[in-house]
Amino acid sequence: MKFLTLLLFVCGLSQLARAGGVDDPKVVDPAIMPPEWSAEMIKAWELLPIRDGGRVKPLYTFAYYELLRTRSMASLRVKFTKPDPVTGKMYRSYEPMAWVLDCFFNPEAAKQYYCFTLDDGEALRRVGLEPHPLKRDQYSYNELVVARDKLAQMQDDVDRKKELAKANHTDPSYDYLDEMIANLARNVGAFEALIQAGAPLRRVLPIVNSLPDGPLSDQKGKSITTSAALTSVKTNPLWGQIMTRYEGDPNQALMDIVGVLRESKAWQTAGPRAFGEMDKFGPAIEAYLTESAETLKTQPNLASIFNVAPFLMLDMRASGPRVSVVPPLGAGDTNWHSFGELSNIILSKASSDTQQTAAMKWLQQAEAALAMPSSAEREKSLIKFADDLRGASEGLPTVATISTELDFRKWDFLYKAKWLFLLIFVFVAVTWMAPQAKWAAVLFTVCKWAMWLPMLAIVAAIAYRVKIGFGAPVTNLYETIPVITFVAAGLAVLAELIFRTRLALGVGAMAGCLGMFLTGGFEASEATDTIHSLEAVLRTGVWLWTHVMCEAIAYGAGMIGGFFSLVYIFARLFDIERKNAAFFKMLTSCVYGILAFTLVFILIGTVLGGIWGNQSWGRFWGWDPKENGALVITLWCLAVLHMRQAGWIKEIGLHIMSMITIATIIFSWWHVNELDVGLHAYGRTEGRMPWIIGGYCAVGLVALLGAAISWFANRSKNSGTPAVALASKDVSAMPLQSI
Amino acid sequence: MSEISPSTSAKQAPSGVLGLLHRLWRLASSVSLCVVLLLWLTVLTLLGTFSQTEIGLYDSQAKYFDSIFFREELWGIPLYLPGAYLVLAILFVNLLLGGLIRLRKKPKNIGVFLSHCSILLLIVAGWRSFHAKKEGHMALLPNEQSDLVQAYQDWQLEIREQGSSEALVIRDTNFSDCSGGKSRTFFRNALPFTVKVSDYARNCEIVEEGHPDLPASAKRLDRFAVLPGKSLPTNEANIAGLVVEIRDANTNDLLTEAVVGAVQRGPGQPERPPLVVKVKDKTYAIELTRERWRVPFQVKLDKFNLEKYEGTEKAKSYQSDITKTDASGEEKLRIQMNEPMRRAGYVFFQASFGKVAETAPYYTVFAVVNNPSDQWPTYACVLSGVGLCLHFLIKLAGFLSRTSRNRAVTSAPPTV
Repeated sequence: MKFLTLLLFVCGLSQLARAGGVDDPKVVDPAIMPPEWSAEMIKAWELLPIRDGGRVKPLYTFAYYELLRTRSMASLRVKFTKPDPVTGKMYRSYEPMAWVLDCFFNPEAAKQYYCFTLDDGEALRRVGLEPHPLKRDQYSYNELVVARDKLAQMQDDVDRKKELAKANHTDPSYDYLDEMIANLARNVGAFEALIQAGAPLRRVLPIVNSLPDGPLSDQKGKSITTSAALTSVKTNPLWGQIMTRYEGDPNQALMDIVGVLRESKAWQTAGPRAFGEMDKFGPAIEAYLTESAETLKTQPNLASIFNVAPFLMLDMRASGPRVSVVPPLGAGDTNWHSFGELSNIILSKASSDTQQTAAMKWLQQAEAALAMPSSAEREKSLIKFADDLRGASEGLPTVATISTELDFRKWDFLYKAKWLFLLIFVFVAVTWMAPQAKWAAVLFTVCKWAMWLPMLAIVAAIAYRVKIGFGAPVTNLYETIPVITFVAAGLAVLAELIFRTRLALGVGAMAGCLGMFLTGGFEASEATDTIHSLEAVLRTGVWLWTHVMCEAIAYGAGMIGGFFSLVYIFARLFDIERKNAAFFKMLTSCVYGILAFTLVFILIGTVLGGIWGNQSWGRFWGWDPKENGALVITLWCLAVLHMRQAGWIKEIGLHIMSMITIATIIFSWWHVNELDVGLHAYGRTEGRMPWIIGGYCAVGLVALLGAAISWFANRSKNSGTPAVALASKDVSAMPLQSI
Repeated sequence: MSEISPSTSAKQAPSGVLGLLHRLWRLASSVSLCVVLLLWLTVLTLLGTFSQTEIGLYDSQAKYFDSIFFREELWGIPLYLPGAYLVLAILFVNLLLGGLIRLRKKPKNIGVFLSHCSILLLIVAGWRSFHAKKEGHMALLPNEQSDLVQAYQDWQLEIREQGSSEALVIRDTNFSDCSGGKSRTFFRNALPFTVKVSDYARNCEIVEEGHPDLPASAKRLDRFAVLPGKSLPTNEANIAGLVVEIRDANTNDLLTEAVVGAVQRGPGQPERPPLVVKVKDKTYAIELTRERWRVPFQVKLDKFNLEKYEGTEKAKSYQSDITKTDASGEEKLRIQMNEPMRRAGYVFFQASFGKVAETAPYYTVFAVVNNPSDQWPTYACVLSGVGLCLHFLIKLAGFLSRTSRNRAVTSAPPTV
């Protein structure tokens, strides 16, 4: 054990030395940094409702998962080459909301932040980029954009191969580096969407000098805002004819107009080659209008549309629906809109005058805010803009839980529960060192009461989620983890109340801590909102409260039973409490009771699931992998309890079987999700097999250890050597002792 | 868990045939047998789950769960192992004898008794459902009416005289082995011709004779042939095909020979014209379809309602407003997720929906089930819930009272 600790310590030191021994390339000049956003600004924007993933949520939630997915953690530290002249610090810390606001309103700075985490820099060589010296490191958008086309191509390749492998039931023909690049490309795409989301508000469109006399010609050599460009297009006499031809679809019309531009020699020479080269739009348009001056001289209306079309098309298409923060625009509109979609509404024939006026109002207000001369005024106007947007959505049923959700996110109950559990475990472990000491008794009593804090934190998290989400505690795989953890920790507390040995509380705290680490790890690896929009078939509170809860309770019980067995096997292995038969008997009774408890809930839960299936689509049992997983646990629990009754297993045998129960739970809880077959598609996961196999190996190893202990114990008993006290000796009358 | 009363002690055990029967009785009702069966069922469930990734649910179910024995190879040696059907049958006997008859009839065993009863009921429900359940689906476009239900899995060859509402049906179990040169001839007294089936493929493509993948041995008829494909793990996606040879029942003269591809009926989709045979002024249509059957009432889709999550294509909820018509009159009903329609022994469940083209209206799909043991699992669940909870509480109460007694006798201060 000591050797292992030493090894880990040396490895950690060497990694640190490696990190410290190279120049960190991830620094930016503080001069490029925009002013820090004030707390008022952050508060106003994080409460802003956004429609995302089929529901309306606070912008904070959206920002949190965007940063989590990109950076692999929900915070960012931008390091400077020299101290920041304002704060004097060598870095600036970013919370998710501040980062997203920079993406919206200070994109050039955001492009320089090192926010793209790559687990293995070697992957970058596949797109022709040189990785940083550290294997796992962060990269900026500006570093990656050079290989934007190759990234997109790799992403397409991987997606295609994945589809092909799925269709042919074969293994995909790409490796983990390819997949890493594909994920990076997705993150880069999502970042670009964030950058683009604010583009219509901050954009200034250059009016080229070669524009013939006509609309917009009075602005030659100047720049106009998106709203001004939209007004010019809308009032352009030619636009009406174009709309008639395109049946009122401005998107398609602008695409075709830009298509003409893109095919021109001028555009191909001077036009942008990659996303983000919007500064080349102006020169390319200028070149095109010069090249076609003769033709367009008599068509000034068309020329003015050519001048602004590429920008407006980009707003409509690239801004997409991802950042839909503009609430429905009055009567007849039920959709939420992104800023780019406002252009579409303003130009579309399908939208009403009220909608067009409202869309123009939002656009102009935001443009005016961003045009403010000082950063303080700019921020003040943006706060008002956010407040107005929020005010416009008030009264809508979908925004009723926005502030509740923000509270829930800010409290981060599960994160707090994790550290509380760990703290309690450490303190309980300390009391094991001096079981007879008075201070230990006092400390343990404090721990016993303190255990309610993380438990209540989990309850609070579940309660908030029930209120925000569909109305049931478990609606997806993520939500099973806190519920199962709560059950496991709760049963350990109950065991402590019954047996009073200080052990159960420690085991419960450890299980709680592990469960909370798993919660955080799962959330970080998925990096998507954990409050999902439910499949239609799952939208039934009755079954979610009964069947799913029964299953989760059974999983929690089975896991904690396995943890107690783990303690038993290790206690036997390291000869702890060798003379305290009551200690071992206590653990056996505890595990036996928990297995019986597991059986009650898994059997009822499984049958209830069948009844739900029968109620929903007339199929009580379909041998679906998820159903089979629950059946395996049920059969295993039944087999173990009957094995004990038949005398096949005694004390240590029960603990070995209890360890294997953990394996059956891993199978049902996680493994079947990886099989990619069956009806429970909503629970599917990818790429977790190494962890699952690791879990099986760990459980199998402990079970084997248990078997070995049993074998040696039997051998020593048979050879006449006094063995460790086993179940064969009646110890029921012996008093319980402190451990 | 529970106690089994000893039937006779070892010393009293009779000898001879009676002794053998006695030992058999003890074995059949033993807890050890129960453990073996439960462990084997666990293994079967694991095998049946993992095999689904390779051979799909339908074949896995048939191999491991619906079978009496199944064949498995271990290092090339064929093994015939008991399937779930046989194991459950033995478990039923074991549970009946050991879990009910031999169980000590004491108040403390009431929970175990009830739980065993519930498991027996579940096994019976499963057996009844396995043998008597009929299931299929009905897809309807708005204002479309039907009483015809189509099965998900099994094929049948239908021979229908023109104008008749009845058809002669040959199930695929009768011709599924007719491939690789094998054929089978079907005849019937009232039918003026015989039907010889060959070249059956569970999943195939009907291709033109010049197709590059077509083996030389494939029968080419009227420019077409059956090109067998690999069976898909999702059995519903397999499209069967075969070759039929029609001969005059009296003279044995060849009337026609043709490739018959399966007809997958979807709402609004054009049906492939069946093979038409004219014999003695009568016209017959021959087609290969999924098994079909009728319900004793008509169902008309009045309106399909679909609600999607904002800004997504994901369905939030969907319901079908229907009119059910039979001799007793009309009934307006709504079928939606978790709220099926139960009428005349048939249950209509809202299963899915779809579109045949982007601009077409949505059609609704009902899963239709006729299961005589429909509600039995619910009764079993109640019974097992009561039984297990009772047993658990009895055990817990006993344990707690023992623990408190132990604590009372100890002189040491309570451990914290």
